[in-house]
Amino acid sequence: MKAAISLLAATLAAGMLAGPALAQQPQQLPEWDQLAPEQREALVSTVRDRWNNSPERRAHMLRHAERWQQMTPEERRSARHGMKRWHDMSPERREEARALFQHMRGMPAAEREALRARWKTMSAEERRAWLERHRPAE
Amino acid sequence: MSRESENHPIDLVARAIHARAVERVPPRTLAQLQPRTAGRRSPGRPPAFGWALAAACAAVFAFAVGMYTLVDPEGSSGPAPGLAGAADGLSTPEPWEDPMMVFDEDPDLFVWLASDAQPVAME
Repeated sequence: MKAAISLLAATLAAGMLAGPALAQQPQQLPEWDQLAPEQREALVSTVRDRWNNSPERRAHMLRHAERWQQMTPEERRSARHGMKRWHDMSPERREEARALFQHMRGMPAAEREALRARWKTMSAEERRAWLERHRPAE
Repeated sequence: MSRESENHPIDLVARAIHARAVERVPPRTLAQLQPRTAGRRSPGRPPAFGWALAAACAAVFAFAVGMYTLVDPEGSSGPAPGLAGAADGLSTPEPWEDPMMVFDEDPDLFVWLASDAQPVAME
């Protein structure tokens, strides 16, 4: 009992000091249908807030969510890997990636390869000019 | 949990939120918490009321902290320096700054970024 009280005291202290620290405690959570309404609310609220606060982004969000659903497990694994790369990219590199991706995705393979080769030879100024001409439509 | 469900959007969001919470744990706190849960348990003996109470309080704290993290996804303080790069590889949650990245960007863009056709934008 004394040990339990010590643990409880340590838990309370850690909670006050570390804030989110205890969220890392391993626990077996149930399927979605068995979650408490409060837990579902906690998980969904972030998405709902973004949806409500960004009417202009709703079509994108829905399309992206539907695409995630359609992806194969292998595609999802690749996407996760790509997300890590995305996280490590600067805002400028992200802008370049968006523009190049949008432009290349409809191209035949040969044209994609040609653009990739041309891009490597471009100066920074030429790349900026290309991006201005090919900025993805919102 | 299957590998497929691990890559489900809602799972990715939850993992990102969890990773952000874990980043804020001081290493000393982690060291203090972990040994107490292992080694002292006597098999076959029912847990005492005190242990149950402690576990319940820990669960309540974990849930409250999770709620806090969700309500304030940006957080009032950034990730702990030096811990941001600790989680690497695909088997552990990455410290993504914005869990909503899953919905904000085209998932095919991420696939493209991961493809062998190394994106020129990263050079």
